[in-house]
Amino acid sequence: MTKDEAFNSFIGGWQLVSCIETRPDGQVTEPIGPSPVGQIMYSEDGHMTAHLLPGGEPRDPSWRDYIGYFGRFSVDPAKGVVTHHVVGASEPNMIGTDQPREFNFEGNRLILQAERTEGRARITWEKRDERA
Amino acid sequence: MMTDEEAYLALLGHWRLVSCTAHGQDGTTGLPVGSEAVGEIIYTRDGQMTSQLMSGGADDPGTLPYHGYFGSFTVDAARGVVTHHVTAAWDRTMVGTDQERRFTLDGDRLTLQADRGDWTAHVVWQRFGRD
Repeated sequence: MTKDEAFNSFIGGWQLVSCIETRPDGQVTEPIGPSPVGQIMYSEDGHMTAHLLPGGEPRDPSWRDYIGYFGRFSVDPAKGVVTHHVVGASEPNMIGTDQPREFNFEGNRLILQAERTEGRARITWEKRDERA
Repeated sequence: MMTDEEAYLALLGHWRLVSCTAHGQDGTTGLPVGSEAVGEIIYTRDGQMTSQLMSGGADDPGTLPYHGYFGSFTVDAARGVVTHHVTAAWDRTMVGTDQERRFTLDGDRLTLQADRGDWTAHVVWQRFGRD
């Protein structure tokens, strides 16, 4: 993919399908529960916005609560990395940070993966049908 | 007067926060997300919306540190109202609610007003330029 092709592949709205985390000891967890709700949107002008939260009730106290952030994004297709440059966030420690994510496109799905201290997070998004 | 469709099309796009002020019936004013808030709202062609606001700069006491939600939206041009149908929100009391906002479009500015009992929130947005 060229840089433009990669950039253009992101543009639009995506809804959250799943979020799983593989811990260093191999244990697989669902950090925002089994039925997470979320949306990520990438705009042609280089901005992005994301919301992720647990869906359904009751909520397990071990789940992470609402995570929302927005900012700009840049794509490095050679590395297969999209970086979210965070301007504003529900978590103060994310503000002003660069959040790199390895990306893969599979059909109408976008898979983002991130290494965290807690483990490797794999977040799957599905493209919204925007013809409606 | 705009038709619903004209108003819908006029809202589409990406807006950044200019100011958020509170106006009381007694004439008082306030800054519910502080004086240096940053934020954005996006309306997309498929009828979805997303909004995030964050207080910036110094933490003024009493200000909301963060506020975010997303969902779908509909427009009633005759009433001058855009309604945000909230799917999910940082403030869980908003989930599943319909949030009516009176809207005014003036050039590249959009003002949304929300009635909150004895005060009104005025949120001013400016359309992002193409980079």
